[in-house]
Amino acid sequence: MFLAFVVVADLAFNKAMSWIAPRVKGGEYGRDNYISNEVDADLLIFGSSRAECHYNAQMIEDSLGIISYNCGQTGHSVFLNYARLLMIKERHHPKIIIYDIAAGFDLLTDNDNYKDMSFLKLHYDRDGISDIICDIAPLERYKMLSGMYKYNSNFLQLLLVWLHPVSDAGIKGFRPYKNSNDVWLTPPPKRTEWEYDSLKISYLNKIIESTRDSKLYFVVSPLWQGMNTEIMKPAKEMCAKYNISFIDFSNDPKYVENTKLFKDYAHLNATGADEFTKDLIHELKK
Amino acid sequence: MVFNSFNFIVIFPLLFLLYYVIPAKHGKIRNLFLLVVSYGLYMMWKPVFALILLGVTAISYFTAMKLDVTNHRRKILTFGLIATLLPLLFFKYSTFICQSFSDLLTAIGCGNMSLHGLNWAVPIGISFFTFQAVSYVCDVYYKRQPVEHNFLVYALYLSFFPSILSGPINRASLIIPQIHGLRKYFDYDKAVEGLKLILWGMFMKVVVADRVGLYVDTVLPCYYNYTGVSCFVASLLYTIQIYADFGGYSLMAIGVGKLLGFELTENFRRPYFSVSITDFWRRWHISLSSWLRDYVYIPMGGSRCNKLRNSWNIFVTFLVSGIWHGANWTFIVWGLMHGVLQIIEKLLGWQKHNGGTFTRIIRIVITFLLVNFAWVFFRMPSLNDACKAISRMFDPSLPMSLFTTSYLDIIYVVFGVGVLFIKDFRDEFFSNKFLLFNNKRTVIRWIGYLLVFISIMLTGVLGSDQFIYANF
Repeated sequence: MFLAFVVVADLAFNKAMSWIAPRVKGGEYGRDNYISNEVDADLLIFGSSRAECHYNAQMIEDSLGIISYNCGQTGHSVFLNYARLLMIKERHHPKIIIYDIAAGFDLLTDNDNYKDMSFLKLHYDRDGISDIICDIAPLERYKMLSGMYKYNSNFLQLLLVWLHPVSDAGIKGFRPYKNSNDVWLTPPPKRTEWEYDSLKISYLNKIIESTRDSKLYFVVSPLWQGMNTEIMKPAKEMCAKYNISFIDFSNDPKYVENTKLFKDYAHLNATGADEFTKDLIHELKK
Repeated sequence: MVFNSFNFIVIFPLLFLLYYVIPAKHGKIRNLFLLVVSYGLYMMWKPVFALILLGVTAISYFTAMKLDVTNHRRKILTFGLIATLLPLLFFKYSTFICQSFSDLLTAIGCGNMSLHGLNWAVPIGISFFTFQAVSYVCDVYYKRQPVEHNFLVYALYLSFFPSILSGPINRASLIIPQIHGLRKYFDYDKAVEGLKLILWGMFMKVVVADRVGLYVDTVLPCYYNYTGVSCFVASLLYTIQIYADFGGYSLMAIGVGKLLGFELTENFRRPYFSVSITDFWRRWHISLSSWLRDYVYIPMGGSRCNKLRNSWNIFVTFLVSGIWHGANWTFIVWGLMHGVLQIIEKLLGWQKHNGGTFTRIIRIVITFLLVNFAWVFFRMPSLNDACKAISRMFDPSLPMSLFTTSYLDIIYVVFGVGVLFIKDFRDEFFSNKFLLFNNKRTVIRWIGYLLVFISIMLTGVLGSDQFIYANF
């Protein structure tokens, strides 16, 4: 009897949220809906927070004359980027794709792959998304039978932004960190050892394979203390194999330890982002 | 396998059904089934460590058997206890002992004498099943517990899967008679009680502990990047996290035990409503504190001695408590802080509450803050980090700003902690009023179950997809 109540409540909740979620226009989920269902820019930028706050899409658009949009998502990795690319390609084929590659999110075992689930779960019924979810965690296919689980911890945000849409999608998806004196530059110790995540690398390969009809660039944006580029070896090998441009700003002396351009050791501030975007445009024009 | 894992939620109903398929008259087969399941679940982590569990079981079993027939009881007891404790010392403490000895040699100028510990993985639950084995051997020695001749019964007592990972540390006198069949085939009321405990335990674990843990695990490991206010709030949340985590897990263990017809030891009784540190230890990890009382404190003389000796007994008991919790100086300092605070309370006669409501509230707040202060040592990876984090909390030069992510995270934290506080407050002060799970009206009870279940499903941290992104 109790189980019956639970099942009814779960079904009703799922029904209501499935109606609400795609209609959300504001907040993170509104931006996610826009990227997944509406974006039609010819130049798309993907990656984690370093993509989201480093690439001024408006500046790129103005300089190159190509409609651009920044699809980067803070705290998320190659799985969400691939999923978004799949959903975009259902209706639109971008001409240029810039993928900001971050070792921790796209190559190494540093981050728990499960962290990409919060957005992915909302698109579980779309083509190919359930496969990504099950690659990350095979048991998810059973958990996703529950509607409440699907909206666990995001239902409140979905409801609130559905009721009161607040647009914070930035300028064409670009959301820079404001310049402030509250600079936070305690970098982690320089690493000498790392472990590659074969699943992430396989998904980077999938991104390459699914963008054969586009011009793809892998870009490493600036880092405050630079980087041992050896860590990018698998990405460089992929680029060499598929003849993809690999643009590396990680150790560019213009940026390394230039505190005026950074918000923290991994992220440029708004000024730094604009400087970097200019330099990137210069590279893209070559 | 942890109770809040999806695997357990799927596997347990199956185990439960299989267990009750075995007819009541075949009690021995039911016990054998539980033993196989217990070892099977234990082996899901690292199969080879089941041999350690088996070894501790065999040593303590044969020690107790020998104690029953020998004239050299004290020698057998000593030998048996050393042999029982050896795996625990070996796996859990060898690295710490080697490192500490190495540091000592370096400190006294013997150069860089580097002694490397084993750095092996520690068999899960070893502290719990070893202490159960020790309590059994001691009880047999003091003739408080008859010798158990059936090896399988004794093996089930030590390996019983609901409590092997994180306790409660059950006494043989409680569990062995139940294994011998002195329990009903299926006790409906007990099973319902068990389900209620599992439901509430799950709420404590995933809605409260894991939610506040997101903040704690973001701030405290990188305390040097956060303001003193943020560090203090993280320490308060850690105090809540450890209670909700451990208390919730214990409730689930007791609940699973009840579903199988077993009564396990109560482990937590609203510890943050304690009026003194002494009172706190009557409510916190009760199965461990009673173990320490019976097998460390009382054998040393307990309180039936002069004040100085009594203080020493308390000090040693809490030193053992600290060491039991982990192989690190932080745990030892944490244990000693509790010991010293209890000694002070005892000397000043503050361990009991005799005042009015206002005094009680003040004492609860002071005890909570003292316990909170000690938890910082428990949480931080080293004494140096703990001291630095604490000094940050009291550093007036730092900005008074609080690190927050989104207001929604705050809503989830306030919701979970608020519900837990209201529940514990009611249990503490109005235990017969405002009943929800035990209300006479079925409708209210079921609404209660449903609300808690929905809260778990919607606001619980059910996977690592929820995290606080702290800009790196």
